Amino acid sequence: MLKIKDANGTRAPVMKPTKQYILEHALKQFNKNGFVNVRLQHIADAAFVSVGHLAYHFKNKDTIVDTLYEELKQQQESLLAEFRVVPLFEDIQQQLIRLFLLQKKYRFFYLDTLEITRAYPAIKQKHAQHTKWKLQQIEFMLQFNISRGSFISPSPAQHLKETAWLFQTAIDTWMYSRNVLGSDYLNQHDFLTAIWSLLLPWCSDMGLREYAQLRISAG
Amino acid sequence: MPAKIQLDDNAYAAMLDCINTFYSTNAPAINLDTDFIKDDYWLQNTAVIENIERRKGCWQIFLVFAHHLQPLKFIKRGITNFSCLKKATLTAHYMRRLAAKDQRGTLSVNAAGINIIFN
Amino acid sequence: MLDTKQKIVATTEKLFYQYGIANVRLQQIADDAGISVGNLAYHFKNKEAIVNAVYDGLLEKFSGILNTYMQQNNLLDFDTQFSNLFLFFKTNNYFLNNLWEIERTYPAIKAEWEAINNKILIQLKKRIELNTTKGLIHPEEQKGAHELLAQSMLLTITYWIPQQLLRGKLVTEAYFKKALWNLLMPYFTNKGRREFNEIIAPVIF
Repeated sequence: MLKIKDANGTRAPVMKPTKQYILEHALKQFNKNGFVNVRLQHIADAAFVSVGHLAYHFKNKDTIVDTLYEELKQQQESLLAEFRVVPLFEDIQQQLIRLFLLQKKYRFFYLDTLEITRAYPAIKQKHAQHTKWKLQQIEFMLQFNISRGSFISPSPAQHLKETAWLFQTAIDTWMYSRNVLGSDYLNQHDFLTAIWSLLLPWCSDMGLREYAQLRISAG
Repeated sequence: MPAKIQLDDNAYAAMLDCINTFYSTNAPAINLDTDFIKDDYWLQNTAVIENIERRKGCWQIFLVFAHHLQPLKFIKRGITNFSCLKKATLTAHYMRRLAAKDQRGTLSVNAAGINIIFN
Repeated sequence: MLDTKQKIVATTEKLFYQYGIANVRLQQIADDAGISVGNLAYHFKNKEAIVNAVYDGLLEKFSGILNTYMQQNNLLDFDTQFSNLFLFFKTNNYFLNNLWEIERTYPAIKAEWEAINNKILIQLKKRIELNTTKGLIHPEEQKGAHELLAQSMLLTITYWIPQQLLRGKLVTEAYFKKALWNLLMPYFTNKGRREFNEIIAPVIF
């Protein structure tokens, strides 16, 4: 909190926007105009601060993007860590919905992943590790469901890794390709249908029944 | 730069369908359908004359083909009929010219080659 | 000996990959191509003209891949298209990176790319259809299964290279093709598997 002198010369504590507030506005600006086109001045204007104040909290644009990515990463990790518990179809659906909402919130990153990872090698490193970790979670989820009997085991075993890769790539790039193809990329229903349709060929009868159950309860 | 051709997705899909059917139905023909090529090949080396007869109230065109080297190999084929004689004569005239090996009609068959023995 | 225009286009492609479309300045292009900015302005009136020229060449190459439909009447046809697509995406790697920027600022280019992309998807679907009638691929067990297969293949084709680079893995044509063939394999009939082992396996392994 910055303390300034008012007209009487007394030091009164004035509520200046906190780091979090600025970060929120930065995110909004990035989502609206694309990460490349946003200047620090724009963020400062949106948050009703001066550029100097902005510089006090964040050295430059890179730091802002980095902080936002860290936020995103942490939220994703806490989400996916729950996968380890008991990923029934109901749980998978919940995970997907929450993943989608997260992607929606940080959509500037998902719509521009390639550009951001090109411009910031540090973020690229972190994202690579994070992707690897996500892949492991998904492989675990598939393995669990195979042993549970809701998925049919692919043969040869190599297919498991590749299905996991396809699943993860589809989740990460769905928004990007929808946007680029000019379709609505904020439609949750479409997202869920597309992702589930990747898993359906692997479903056993039991799995298909469970999925039908899911569709009924989802409405 | 040449003008770009726009093809909408449905048209493109239909075009690829045609290519597909070409490749998937590219099977050998059955003999029944293609025998005519072998059997009638000799007709390309024949002299032709036309013949018009009145059959069933119409003028029927017949073409008589005789192989120019072996006149005993000949065949008479009915083509089509017309109700009007003039039409028939005209059509027969052009048909003969088309069917003959040489269009100008210089090819002729040696009448002596038709060696029929009356016994 | 490249003429100046071609040299400019080649330099611009490299710069687009390194820095992204929005960040590349005309001065940079001129410097890297070894000409003056005035000379650059003579060939290309403004940045828009350069971007259009670069992407025209690119889209022409991309649509050229469409011309090889069914040049071989067997599974090798798939394989040839995979090779062509791999070569295209590998050599024109700046293409995907800048796609969102293109979508925002050059909608005409993006519309054309979209059209070609759709045609490639249709080609994949039709190839699958043809091989189904020839008895190499199982007919659909659930409605829309083949459509889904074609879309998964297109997804893999587009994003395989960037994902491999992101994970620090090796990018080779053999791996690329293997990933794609592995998508098709679960759908092969016995006849299809036989043809695959005879014709395709010796080529990629």
